[in-house]
Amino acid sequence: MNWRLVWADVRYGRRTLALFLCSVALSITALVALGSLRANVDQSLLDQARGLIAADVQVRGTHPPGPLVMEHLRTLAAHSGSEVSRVVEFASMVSVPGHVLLCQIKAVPPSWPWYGTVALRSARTLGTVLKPGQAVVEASLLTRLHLSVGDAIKVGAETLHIADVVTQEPDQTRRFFAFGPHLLVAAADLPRLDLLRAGSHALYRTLVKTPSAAVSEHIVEVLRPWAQHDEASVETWQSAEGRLQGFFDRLLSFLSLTATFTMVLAGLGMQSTLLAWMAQQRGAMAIFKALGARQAFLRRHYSGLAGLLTVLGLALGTAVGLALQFAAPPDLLGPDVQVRWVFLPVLAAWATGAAVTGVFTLMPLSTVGEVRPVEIFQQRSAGRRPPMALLAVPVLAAVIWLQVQPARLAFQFTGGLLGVGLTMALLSAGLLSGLRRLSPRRLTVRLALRGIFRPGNQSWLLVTVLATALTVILALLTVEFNLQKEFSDTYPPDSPTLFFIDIQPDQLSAFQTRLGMAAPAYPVVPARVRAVNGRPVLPHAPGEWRRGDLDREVRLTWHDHALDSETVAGGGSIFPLPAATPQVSLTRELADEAGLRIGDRLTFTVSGVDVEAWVASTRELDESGVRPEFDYVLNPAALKEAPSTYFIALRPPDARLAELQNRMASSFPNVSSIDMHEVVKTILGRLEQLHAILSFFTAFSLVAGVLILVGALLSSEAERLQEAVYYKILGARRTFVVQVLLLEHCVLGGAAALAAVGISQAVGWTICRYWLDITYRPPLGGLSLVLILVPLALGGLSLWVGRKIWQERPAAWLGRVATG
Amino acid sequence: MRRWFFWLVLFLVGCEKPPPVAPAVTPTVSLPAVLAFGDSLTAGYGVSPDQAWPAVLERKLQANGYRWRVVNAGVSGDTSRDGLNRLDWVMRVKPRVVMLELGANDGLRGLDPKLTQANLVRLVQRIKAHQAQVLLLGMQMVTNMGSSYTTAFKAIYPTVAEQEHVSLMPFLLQGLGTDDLRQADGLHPTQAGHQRIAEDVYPYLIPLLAPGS
Repeated sequence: MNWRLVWADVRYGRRTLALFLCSVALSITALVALGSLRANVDQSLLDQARGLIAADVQVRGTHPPGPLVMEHLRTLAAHSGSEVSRVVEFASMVSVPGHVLLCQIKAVPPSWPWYGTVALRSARTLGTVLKPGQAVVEASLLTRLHLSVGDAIKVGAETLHIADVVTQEPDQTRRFFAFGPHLLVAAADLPRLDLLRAGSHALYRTLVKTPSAAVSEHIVEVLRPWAQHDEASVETWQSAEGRLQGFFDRLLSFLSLTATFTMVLAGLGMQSTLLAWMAQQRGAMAIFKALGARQAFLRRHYSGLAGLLTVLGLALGTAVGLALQFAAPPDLLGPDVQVRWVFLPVLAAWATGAAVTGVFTLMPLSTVGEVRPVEIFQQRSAGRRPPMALLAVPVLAAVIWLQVQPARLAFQFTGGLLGVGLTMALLSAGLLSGLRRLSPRRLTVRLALRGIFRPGNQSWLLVTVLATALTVILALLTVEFNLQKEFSDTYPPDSPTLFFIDIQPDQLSAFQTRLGMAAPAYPVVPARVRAVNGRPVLPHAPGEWRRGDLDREVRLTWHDHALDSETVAGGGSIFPLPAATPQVSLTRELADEAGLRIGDRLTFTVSGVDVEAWVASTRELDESGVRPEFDYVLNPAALKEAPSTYFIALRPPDARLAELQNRMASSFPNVSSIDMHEVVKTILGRLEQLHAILSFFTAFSLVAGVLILVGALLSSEAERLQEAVYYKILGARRTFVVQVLLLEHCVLGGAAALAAVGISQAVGWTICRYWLDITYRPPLGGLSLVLILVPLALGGLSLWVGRKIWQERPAAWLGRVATG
Repeated sequence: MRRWFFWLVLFLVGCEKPPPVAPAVTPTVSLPAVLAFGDSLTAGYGVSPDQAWPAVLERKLQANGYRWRVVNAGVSGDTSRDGLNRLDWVMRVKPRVVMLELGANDGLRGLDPKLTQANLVRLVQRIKAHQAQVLLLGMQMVTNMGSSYTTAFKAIYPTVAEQEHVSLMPFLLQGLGTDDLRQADGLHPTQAGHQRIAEDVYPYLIPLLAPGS
């Protein structure tokens, strides 16, 4: 390599080469940061998921596992290096002088929990606090019994001292509805409490920590038949929370896809900046060739330079990638994500990055062969792309296959990416062909359009690359938007945290007054469907109950109009018959599953008394948010006299929860309260954390998009410069040149944005609907902004990047051309 | 084309799933009624209505020549206060005997036993006001609730029966000692458990069915 030549090239093309360097670095940064962070996030998410049962495997039943099960378990554990412990949960009355309160007690061994986090108010660890003779309690227990840390409470036959307050614990979300606050006691204290003996009712959870998923599966397989004899269930965290595990799996795959998308985008950025640089070098290459330089010399020179920059980019990207994850604010990824050094993902990122850089620089470097010495006198742009570019497809597919697992997903992803690219190429060609047919009157518009179709201009490539990049980014943002919407819809910030049940009709008014805050009350009438059109309902098929089984106990309610969360799907209105006619509205899902139709006559048995109603309508329920859902809604005439109770769901300020429960319990002792604020808080915290992780990952693709844009603009800088000079020679002013340049890029940006918005929504819909299994909603506000901002941004960026073009004086340019 | 349409119609008709119902039967509402008034233990939580002990008891009565029907007025989750709320409604079936099985959910929710006792007394008094006899089905609380609570709870039923002079079966679940008679939750009876309860309740009920009792 000729180092003087290299230095001259670097100096001359420093702006473009800096962009190339940034693209390489970004690709590696994304891969290193996402690769190693993903490994950490994967681990944390898996830990959290395991935290749902705080173990790998659990044997769960209302009795301790029998001797045979325990013998099997001990043997399996000894052979596989697994650990076994036991947690026992039960309800009991806890007392202090003058007060008694129902509490949920959890007796835990010193090793608990293996997964998940226990947070104490004092910030100490549970192991150092929970000793025999002590208890760690939920904050509301202190308030409800007027106690402080250090006070004594009577639990069973023993007096325990309150050592701390628990603010977070694993396996909490599974304990959704529980009466009373809970407290943790040491498992060693259980015999002294003297609560678990003949006639007791408790949940025994034998927990197993295994070295691998395969061992977990083996233990489950061996134990399950034995445990069935003990009426116990054996489950892994996956089987315990199957739906959640599926969601975690898809989320992790989505993060893999995001990293791979970013890598492809950064690759496109490399390609467009290198193309721009090679375009700038055509004149110099023509001179070298005229002076006798061989093709091999030029190839070596430019490949060597690109290789040098790639190595620099790899080093820079790795440094930034590693720095990013260690310097990231802890709040960004949540307290549970532990950043650890992982070597393999970094190595994999280097290998992948080198392969991707190779693929995307291959095509620009191959343009060396196109240059002819005659270009010294006659400037020409890059011509037809060599078929070598097709090599990118299998190499990219191989890289994607390595990055995305399982193979089926990688295959779908590669196919999808190719599909998007091809669609974009066709769509861009179609849009540009439509623009070509326009013949506007205004000179600036006409020249702007002509500029788009200038011979050798890369408008089609620019629109295709820009639209593909935009499609990918918009699809990611759309999926992220929908995931966030799904999270916030599932548990909106105003989700109720406190439930009062069993409010009697004669208590309702006084209860609401005493509550002192507005909260809707829902009537509930327990019943069974006894007959349909006079024919008794048959028992359901053996196995678990399904929604469509009619022979189960159901909860009816009544109101005279559809609620905000309900949409009438069939029947015209919720109760279309005269008000005096007893009518029932069913959810469409129930009607479909149970084979019920509008016009059927249902006979309910309400506490042994028959109530008849005609199926008058079906409803769709808006399942977002936490709100009561009723399969059967009757009109007031049908249930007017039936015995009902009410329940109220509300979200008081957390600080008032305990006081409110005390106040209501003293006035209405028969009414039970269910306090879910800790559970809701935990779930909301998790969702916010997942959202932060997703946003963090998608931000990389945005940066890659900007690099592509700048690179694409630089690639046609020379042609535009020449054109601007011609305009000025012909008498045009700077404003005119600016207008033409701006308009041309606004039109190109508009075409790219339009194509990207359409295709990205199709891609987003497919991912949401068929892969993540969530409701798709287009981010209309964001998409409108994209349609406005992308043309403006491209126009603005073209002015900034091409400031040389509109600032250039014709004499200076001609002088430079004349002197070569 | 017509053939294709024919198959399509057949397919669509075949897809429409009818509700699982039996042929219409003649109701037995003319028979005198025994009312099983209780919670999930009576409602038959986890089993079909015809496997719950009131249905088994009705079949046993009729097999032994007693021309009575047993109406199941059990509601899962019901407390003694809920029972007071729906008593007037259930008395529409005009029972001659009411088997009162309530209070277990009061205990599981840690309600004050005095409150449960007062509710049961009011229930018995109001049932008697409807000219019906009462068989009070006694309940005991799980031992993990603590000895003072379980002791106070256990005393409720004999006290109410004695105070109101009604028949008492001391403990409804007395015969459910073995695991195969209870569901996996450890609380609710299985199908076999319901049969056992029906057997156990039967001797307490028969004297109340005698004419003039």
